Amino acid sequence: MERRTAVKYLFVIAGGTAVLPSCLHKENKASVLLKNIAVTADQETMLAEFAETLLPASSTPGAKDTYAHLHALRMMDQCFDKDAQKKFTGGMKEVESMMKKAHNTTFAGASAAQRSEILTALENKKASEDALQFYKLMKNLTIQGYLTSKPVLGDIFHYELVPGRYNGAFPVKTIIHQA
Amino acid sequence: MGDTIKDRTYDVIVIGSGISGGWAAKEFCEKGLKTLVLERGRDVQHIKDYPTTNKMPWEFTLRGNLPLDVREANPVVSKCYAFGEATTQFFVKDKEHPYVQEKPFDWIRGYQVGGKSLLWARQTQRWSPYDFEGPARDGFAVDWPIRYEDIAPWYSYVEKFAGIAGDKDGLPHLPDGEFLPGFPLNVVEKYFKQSVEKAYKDRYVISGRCAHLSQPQPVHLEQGRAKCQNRTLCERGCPFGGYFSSNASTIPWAAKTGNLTLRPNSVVHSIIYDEQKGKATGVKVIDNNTKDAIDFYAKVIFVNAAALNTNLILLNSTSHRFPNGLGNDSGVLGKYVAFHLYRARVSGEYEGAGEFTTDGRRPTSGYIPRFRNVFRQETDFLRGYAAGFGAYRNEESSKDGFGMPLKQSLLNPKLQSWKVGSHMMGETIPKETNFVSLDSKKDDWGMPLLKVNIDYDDNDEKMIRDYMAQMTEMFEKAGFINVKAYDSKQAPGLDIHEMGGVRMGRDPKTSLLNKWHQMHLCKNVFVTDGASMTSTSTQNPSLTYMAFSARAANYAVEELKKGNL
Ligand SMILES: Cc1cc2nc3c(=O)[nH]c(=O)nc-3n(C[C@H](O)[C@H](O)[C@H](O)COP(=O)(O)OP(=O)(O)OC[C@H]3O[C@@H](n4cnc5c(N)ncnc54)[C@H](O)[C@@H]3O)c2cc1C
Ligand code: SF4
Repeated sequence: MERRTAVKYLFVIAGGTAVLPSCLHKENKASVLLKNIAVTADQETMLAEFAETLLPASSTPGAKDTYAHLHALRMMDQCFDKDAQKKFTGGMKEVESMMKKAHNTTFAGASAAQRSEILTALENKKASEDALQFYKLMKNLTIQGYLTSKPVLGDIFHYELVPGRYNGAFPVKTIIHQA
Repeated sequence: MGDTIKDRTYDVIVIGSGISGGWAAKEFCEKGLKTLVLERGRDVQHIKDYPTTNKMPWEFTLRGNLPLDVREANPVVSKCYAFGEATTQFFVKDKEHPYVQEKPFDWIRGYQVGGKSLLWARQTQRWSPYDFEGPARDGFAVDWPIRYEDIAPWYSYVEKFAGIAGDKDGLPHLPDGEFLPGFPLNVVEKYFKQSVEKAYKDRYVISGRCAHLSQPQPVHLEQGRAKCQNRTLCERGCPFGGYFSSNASTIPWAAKTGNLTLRPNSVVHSIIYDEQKGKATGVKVIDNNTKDAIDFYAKVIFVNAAALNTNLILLNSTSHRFPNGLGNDSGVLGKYVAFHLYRARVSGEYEGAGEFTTDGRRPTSGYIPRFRNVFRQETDFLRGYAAGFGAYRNEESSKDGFGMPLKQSLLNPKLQSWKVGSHMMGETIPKETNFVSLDSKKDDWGMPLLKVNIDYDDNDEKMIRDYMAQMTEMFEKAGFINVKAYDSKQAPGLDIHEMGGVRMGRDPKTSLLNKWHQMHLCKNVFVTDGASMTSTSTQNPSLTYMAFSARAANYAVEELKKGNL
């Protein structure tokens, strides 16, 4: 019944955008090999833009620079159960429907302001349960992929494979911050 | 390898190439004996066979996580903290090697050259006189046929070669050894040390002694090993040989002598007993690849398959003379198995020392030697527990919102206050009712499955409660806040310190091995791994297995020379 509490203009029918013309093409597949979930190339583009809206590029890398959305896809495919996978793909489609309903465009085709509007609704829990589940999973996995990527963990946080030292009383003020 | 009996005859056979077998092999090869090491798993060569060792976090497909199907297919090994995307290749998977849990028991194994020595956490504390005297003083199990003085020179011997980092702490109940410089406690661990040592006259906090080359000596360089570089990615195998493993240390050392034949993929099925000669003549092996049976022969046999597998091999070594397993007239074989009590933890936070954090990494942490019932019986439970102790500071960031504010927050994490944590390592009492036996079902190699019957008892429950209460008190006296004690209720086994079943003792009626780890009733078979333990004490056991193995091997060499074997 949670669904009914969704704000009216965001109310969508689950699976409303499931059959996009591009889905019919066999070659329209995600660029990572997925065994358990079905994601089209268009949906992958949507996820990339979604991730980029979560963590946009500026003077520091954005989510797309770190392929965090592909990390999210791999994790969803391999590390979660069927139920979570269904919520993820279902919720992803619902978010597309939200965009369609609100602005009659796709998430990938939308403006930055339009994307922000949808994420604001999600952040404020003003969406269907599946959309919110998708948001929670996608956000956590995007953050995880971003923070463990080479551009971020390697180049910004200077992860050391071989520190060669341990100082158990390191003065805090000498920590140099990156960003 | 030829195929006459002569081609399959050696001076010594060592079963298993892990920590204890590696040491036995080294000693025999150095003394000039032709040594055959039979290892059921594949070969793992130092550095070459560490596929993940130099991978950056982002080079792992799942960034260190395990796929759901792997976790679901491996409910037992998935419980081990060290089992992850970087290390799956060194762990036994549940389905590959089933066993029967009559009572829940998490059996964590590593079947490969090097055994679990690749995976261990490298904590190496000596036993003390009080530990060997335990069973006699408190009236459980049987008296150890040896004392600390018997083993002390062998601790020194193995410590020098393996390389143990530690401080000289001068504690009678945790004797000092031949140490390389210890890794330092951090500022909060030092604070806790002061607080504890002021509040209690008999409790100490020290730096955990560990098998890492903090300052390599010539004997380590000669092994091709170098200084530990504080990676703390040891379970992947260390490209520097910074920690002790059979693969980096004893096995290549033994190979260099030209006396070692290492035969991986060789599943030892049983030991062959010759009634006429009144001793063992060799072992029956099932080739892992072809599943063919092959016999190998030797004058002396060392069984080092890791505690429970050593029990399995001996129980499966039946003959007309020994229908219940080799040397088992007493019926004690497989019984009096014990382990370490790792169930409870205590955590907290410390708001002081805000001006400090840590930098770099460290392959050990603090250690609290046992303080209960050490010199006399004081509590309503027998024996006691040691504990690990560590303090650390995390950086965290808020994950609220999205867009630039979220990114700014993630890229500028805030240093949190210090967190402190401890886990217990308790002694358990070996009992006849904690035992392993053979199931009627067989595995793919024709070996009966091992049936495990091991459980906690009332002494354990009392000890857990005491640890939680005492550590909470110690934390609170130090001004730590949000102190929480937690009993994981984990099954026995996850401590990975299973011991006993082929215990040492003075009397053949109540034990299997004499003071030289030699079977009372089959003098040319020796057991020097955890199976031989009469009691468990609280210290991480592998250093003691190393010392046992070296001591027994040198004794066997002498006996061979005298023509006694
Ligand atoms: C994650 C982890 C952390 C640990 N931390 C510590 C620690 O900090 N300190 C400590 O002291 N100990 C620790 N241990 C335990 C330590 O690894 C073992 O005590 C030690 O390896 C035992 O040595 P072993 O020679 O008896 O057995 P292993 O090292 O397990 O070697 C046994 C070998 O025998 C082989 N084998 C088994 N059956 C047969 C057969 N039928 N035929 C032929 N070969 C066979 C196996 O394949 C294996 O290679 C830890 C273990 C793990 C997994
Ligand atoms: S902490 Fe030391 S031993 Fe462990 S991986 Fe490292 S360098 Fe090697």
